[in-house]
Amino acid sequence: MAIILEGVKKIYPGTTEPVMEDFNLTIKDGSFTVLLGPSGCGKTTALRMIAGLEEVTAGKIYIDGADVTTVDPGARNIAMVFQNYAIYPHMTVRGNIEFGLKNYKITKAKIQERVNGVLAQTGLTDLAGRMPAQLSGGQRQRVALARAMSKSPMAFLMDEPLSNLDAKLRSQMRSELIQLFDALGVTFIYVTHDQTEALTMATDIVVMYEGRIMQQGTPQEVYENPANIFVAQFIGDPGMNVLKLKNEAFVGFKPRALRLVRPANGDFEIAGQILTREFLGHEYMYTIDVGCGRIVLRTGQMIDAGTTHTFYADAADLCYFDKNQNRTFEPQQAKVVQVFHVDE
Amino acid sequence: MSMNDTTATLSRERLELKERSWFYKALNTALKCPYVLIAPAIIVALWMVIYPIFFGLYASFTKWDMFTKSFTWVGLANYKFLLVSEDFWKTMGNTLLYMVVFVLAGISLNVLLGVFLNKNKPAHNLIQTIMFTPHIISFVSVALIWLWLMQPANGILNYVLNILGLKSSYWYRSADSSLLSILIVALWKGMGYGVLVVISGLRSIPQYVYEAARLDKSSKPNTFFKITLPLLSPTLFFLIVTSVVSSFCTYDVVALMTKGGTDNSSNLLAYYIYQQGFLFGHFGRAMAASMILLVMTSVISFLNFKFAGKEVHYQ
Repeated sequence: MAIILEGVKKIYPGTTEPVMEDFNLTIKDGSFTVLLGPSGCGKTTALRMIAGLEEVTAGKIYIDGADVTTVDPGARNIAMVFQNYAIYPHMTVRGNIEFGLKNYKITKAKIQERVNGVLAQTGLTDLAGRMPAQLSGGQRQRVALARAMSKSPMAFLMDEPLSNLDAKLRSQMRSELIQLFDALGVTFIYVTHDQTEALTMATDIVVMYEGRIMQQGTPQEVYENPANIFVAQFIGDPGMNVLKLKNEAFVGFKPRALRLVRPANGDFEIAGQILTREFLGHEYMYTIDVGCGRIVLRTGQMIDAGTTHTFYADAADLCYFDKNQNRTFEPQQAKVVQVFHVDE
Repeated sequence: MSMNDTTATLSRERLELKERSWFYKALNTALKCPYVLIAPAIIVALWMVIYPIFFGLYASFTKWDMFTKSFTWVGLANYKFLLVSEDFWKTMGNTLLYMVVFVLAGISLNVLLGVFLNKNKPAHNLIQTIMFTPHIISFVSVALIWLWLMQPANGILNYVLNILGLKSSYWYRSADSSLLSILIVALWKGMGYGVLVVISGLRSIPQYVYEAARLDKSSKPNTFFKITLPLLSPTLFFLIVTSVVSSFCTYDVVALMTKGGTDNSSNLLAYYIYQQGFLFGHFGRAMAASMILLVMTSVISFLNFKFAGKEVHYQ
């Protein structure tokens, strides 16, 4: 079920500034699309408009070819999993799942069949009679998922569903969501600011910033071929080092692309002093003062803090950006004037 | 002697002095015995709550003359008098009817108005403020206003009834409508407070629950009965308990408007107790009626907690 947002504009009541304007997005049928971006970029607004929980100021939303711009959330054939689970606190696990199905006017026998099915699928059978207050965060999230699954929707919308879980459980739930996506074969739209979630689960990533789409593509495309400086610096841990050149263009390289020995195809070099060394377990992260700012290096090699070195990058690892901060494939040769950060 | 040694000696001396002081010793003893710490609260409770109850219980078995301060033991005579008294049973019936209507009508109106006014708009906030005003006005003023509004001859309420083509009523002066009259006044006075409590209860229900219900295709009435009311149950339970107790103890509206009404038509237990004690001088009977009121209030509160409490969903 493809979902299309066409020329969407959103102004929240009581404000005059639109949070997004002329927003166009196509979510492919059967894709696991992740809307990724920093806080306030409009990703949750976009998701809530698709769900019908937010009114659209202008523009159209199509789900499976039908214009649903003014259709009630319950009639859009979608299910949503909220960040705070949004399970009914006064109903048992079974009651939470049944509530929606009863509203869809399904026979009692069929409701029981479906409820038992999703309870088994999500491993909640033994907890069916419990109240939400008696469940852990992970179990509550499962109830929210089970409730969404019970409706057999054409699309699942998820608003940062793992952000309230601890790191271990988050990793486990990521794997379970991937399995669920593979098993159900329906469209998943997932909102997060966590790039690890995006890169590990998505088939399609939409990187957003200030109500605009900065890039849409597969995780590999977005990671390896950023379309602009924002994406280059937002994706990666940490993001790309970007240096402003004298001709107003930019050159960028990932922290892992820097090396101490000149490569055969060495096209770039910069001298700097190691300021700090952080041990990450399998490698080190260094902050380097290059005179016009600070860059970051990640390597398995141990270098002493305080020492000065010349660092090199392979030509194949360099990304160039024009003065509008968009990607260009024309190599730029000019003196480095400043280390650049998109949010500065 | 070094500076450090001097400081140490001084501190030790201070400590010894402190340990010798009576206050320190008393505090130390008190801390070893926790009952000493809660003794003030226990003394106040014994003096202000427990003693009056037991005194009242004792007095209910006596012929108590407040002026000569004499207590003549009469056994169950006061209770026997009440149990065969037609006036007492009429008053009991009135009190129960008043309680049921006051609680049901009050809470229904509170919820309806609360849901209607639960919008953060200037007009709604203004109505809320206006509605809360009667709660902070003295019952004497409220009674005066309503006595004027309910004037049988030229009151506004009858004028409105006539415009609507209905017959005039004698309101608080008639045996048929005096109980209804005091109910209207009591409901009107308590409405603002109840609505405010309901609104605060409604605002504590998280918005995402309603969003989940919208996605679950729940209609507005379904959402109200299956989501709002159950999640409002702690608030409603609080209102039920406080309304039951306050309706049993209603005195002022009766005293100010009807004085029990013709043929005890609007007499309530609290006013009946006042009549028996302060108007007729039967303090023993008044105490017996008070004991019955205490038992009724306790039983109903217990039943409330036992049964209604089970349906309360705390988030």
